[in-house]
Amino acid sequence: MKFPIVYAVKHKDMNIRMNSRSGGIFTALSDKILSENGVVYGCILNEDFEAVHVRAETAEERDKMRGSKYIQSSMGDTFHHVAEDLKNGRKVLFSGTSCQIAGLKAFLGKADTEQLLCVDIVCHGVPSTLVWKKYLAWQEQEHHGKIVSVDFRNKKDFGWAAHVETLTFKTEDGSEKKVNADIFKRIFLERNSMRPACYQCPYKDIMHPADITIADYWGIDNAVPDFNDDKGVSLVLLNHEKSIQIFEELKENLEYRNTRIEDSMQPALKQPFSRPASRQKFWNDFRTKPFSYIAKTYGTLSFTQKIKRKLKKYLKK
Amino acid sequence: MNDTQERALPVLFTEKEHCCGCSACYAVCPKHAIVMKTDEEGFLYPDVIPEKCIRCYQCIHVCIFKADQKKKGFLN
Repeated sequence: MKFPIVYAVKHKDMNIRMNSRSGGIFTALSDKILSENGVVYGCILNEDFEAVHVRAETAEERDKMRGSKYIQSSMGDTFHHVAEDLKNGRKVLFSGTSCQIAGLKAFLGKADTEQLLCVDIVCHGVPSTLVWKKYLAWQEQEHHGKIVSVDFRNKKDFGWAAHVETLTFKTEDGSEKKVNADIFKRIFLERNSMRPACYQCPYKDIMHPADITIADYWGIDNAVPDFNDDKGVSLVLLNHEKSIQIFEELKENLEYRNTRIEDSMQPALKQPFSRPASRQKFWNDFRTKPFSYIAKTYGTLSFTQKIKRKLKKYLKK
Repeated sequence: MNDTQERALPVLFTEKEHCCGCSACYAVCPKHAIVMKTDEEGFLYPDVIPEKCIRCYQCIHVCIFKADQKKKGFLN
């Protein structure tokens, strides 16, 4: 058997798919574990909009783990809780970035991990929580309100392929206001705010430390063009014998196609993203200038970029 | 100062590029001698508390990130 075995996946339940970042594979997997009295670990955004790893025993708790978070989660004592659950004979699904999976496996060492299923995401590298928090504080000032919820990537209103962040505010007069933006996305894409280790990530490869790797299926139009309805398709890489049986058991809830890795490549499966030359300048500016300057300089397309974009679009027509 | 504390404190990373913040070293420490601290960029890094550390170096051995970086040629 040659690994990874590659699938394009859509959950049959459209509601689940629309509430998931991609095609809903994480929900399918975690539903299965929960139905067997298992425990699910994953990253949520807490009430302060920071990413943290938590333990879930119900679908409701698990639902908060869906959707993308463009910052690194703090692990707290999660590794110990996983070890304890395994010791107590519980099934455990642990989801996270590849480095978190590798770390957990190293920590568990020779412990019995028969009941452990690890799922990693195809990660681009993690931007700074500090930049994220400053961004939110600045948006609150700009819009004279308190942020009550955030969506790093609003799929429901803009489609799967779009990358629009939506912030919901409660304003001074008590009304609710939604703001769509792409400022944090641009800061993320420029990579200045990324953790230094991500520029030398050893897991930007076809093979990952987890049993199953999941991602947005960005190569879908090459792999299975008629499968893409812009509502989300999961790329699923089965990396290990263990994951084959589990995937079999999920199939009744999924629409799926077996695909080829060659048609499914995306940059993060090849190599880490390089450290931009502007990184040091970005952090100097971040330390010394107001966030409005950061937003304008690093979170907005420059005049030349805008022209280039328009030209590109025009030439495509 | 006793014998243990005369031995060198574990060095978990010399450059920030070599720590992914996964928390394995924090978790493995039998003496709770490692805390995860936020740096000036807002990322968590492990920090060894000298008075609590018994120099067992389990934190060094558990670090798979540096080992995997080495395999990829990112770390000499």
